[in-house]
Amino acid sequence: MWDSVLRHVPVTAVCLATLVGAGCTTVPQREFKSYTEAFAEVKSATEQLLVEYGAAQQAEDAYRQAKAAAEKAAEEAKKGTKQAPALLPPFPPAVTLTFATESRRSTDHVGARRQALEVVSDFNTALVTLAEGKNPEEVKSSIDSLSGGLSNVAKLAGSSLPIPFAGEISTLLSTVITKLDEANNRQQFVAALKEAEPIIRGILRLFAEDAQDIYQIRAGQATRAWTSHQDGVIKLVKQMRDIAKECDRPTADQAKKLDALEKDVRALLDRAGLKDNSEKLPTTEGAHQPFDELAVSQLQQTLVQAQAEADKYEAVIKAQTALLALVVSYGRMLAQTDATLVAVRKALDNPADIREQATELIGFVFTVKRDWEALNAARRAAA
Amino acid sequence: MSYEDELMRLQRIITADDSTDEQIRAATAARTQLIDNSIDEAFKRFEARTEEFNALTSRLKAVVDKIAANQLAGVVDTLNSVVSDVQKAASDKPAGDKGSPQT
Repeated sequence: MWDSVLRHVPVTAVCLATLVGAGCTTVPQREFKSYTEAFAEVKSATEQLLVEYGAAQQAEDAYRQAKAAAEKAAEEAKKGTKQAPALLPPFPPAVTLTFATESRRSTDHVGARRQALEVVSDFNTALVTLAEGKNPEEVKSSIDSLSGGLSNVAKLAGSSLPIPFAGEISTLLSTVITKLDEANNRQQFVAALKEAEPIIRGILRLFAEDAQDIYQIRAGQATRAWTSHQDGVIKLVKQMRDIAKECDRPTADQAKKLDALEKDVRALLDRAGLKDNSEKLPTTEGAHQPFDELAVSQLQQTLVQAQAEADKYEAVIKAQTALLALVVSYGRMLAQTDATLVAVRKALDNPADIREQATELIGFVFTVKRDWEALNAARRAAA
Repeated sequence: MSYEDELMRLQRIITADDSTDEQIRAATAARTQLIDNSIDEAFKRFEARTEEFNALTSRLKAVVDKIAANQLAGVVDTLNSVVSDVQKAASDKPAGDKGSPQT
């Protein structure tokens, strides 16, 4: 009887191999590869955005400290209690080092996002392993394990027992293991992907919301800068008006220079975002100061200062516009990654042609990289 | 009034030729407050999202752990059960059955 059992081992193996291999969903390798590549790009771009967030936070801290110090100084000046500025040592006399604890980790905002990126990467790697199957070492180990088990069967029957079809069994075991492994992996792949899909899509949406907020923070900081430069332009143009007002009407020759200056001021205001202006530098009939070369020189010097402010205004606008383009293309890349993940899940049942999505993704990746370069260039120009 | 509308309203006061110094001072202070509030709100929303990230990360980590555990056990368990069945069938052989003679 036991002999017939052993004789059935190869048959059982073939049947098992056939059964586990049949009727199972195929791992959608191509779709999955598109998704993992898309996520790798998202990870890289998100890490850069988190650096941007860190820089924004640092800038905000510096601004708040300066603002608090200015308010304190103004308060003291108002009360008449202003004292000589306190002397501070050039470095702190001591430092306190703290270890991260569980409670602290929950408030590590950037760390939480980095961890999310890492865990999604780990998940993708685990799924890649499932999709690729066991490595030869693991298969060999499983064959050894099963061969050992079958030897025990022989011992149960007596030492003189020959194992029928010994050569075939070894080959079939390898097939069985591979098929079982594939079936097992496919089941796990499908189950894991279905469980993780809404979680990963949720994480991608959170990153999109983060990008919106990082943009808003940077937009606020840029608004502080551009309004300050615009105010500066206005202040300097007012100074030019005051200079002109103290002067008598220009002679015909000087009038041409005044016209040219007025034209330059209009162009300057236009550059600083104060469009549709009809700026004039009115002189005063009968004023005791003549509109001479000295007055023209003073006006030109003030104009140069105002133009420097307008340059800074334009640089701030350019950098923020570059950030806007970057955030928009980053958002598209997130959306595309989300779509590729959905495509993997859908392909589990109905294989789809993902080539079009993959091509689109490549386009977004290039756009994001180009936008980062544009932003960095704009910032370098503004510095 | 939206943030953008309010900002431009204040900016018009600050840059207008006919605004008094007092009006410019008040508008500048209001503008500072408006921008600070907008930045604060964005920081708060960003920070509030951290808990959501932590929750999703924990859930996904559990899936990853599950894959790691099942991956090692799955195939070996199946093979072991095959071997067990064969062993059980062999050990259940009737007494005196010594199998087929050697060839």
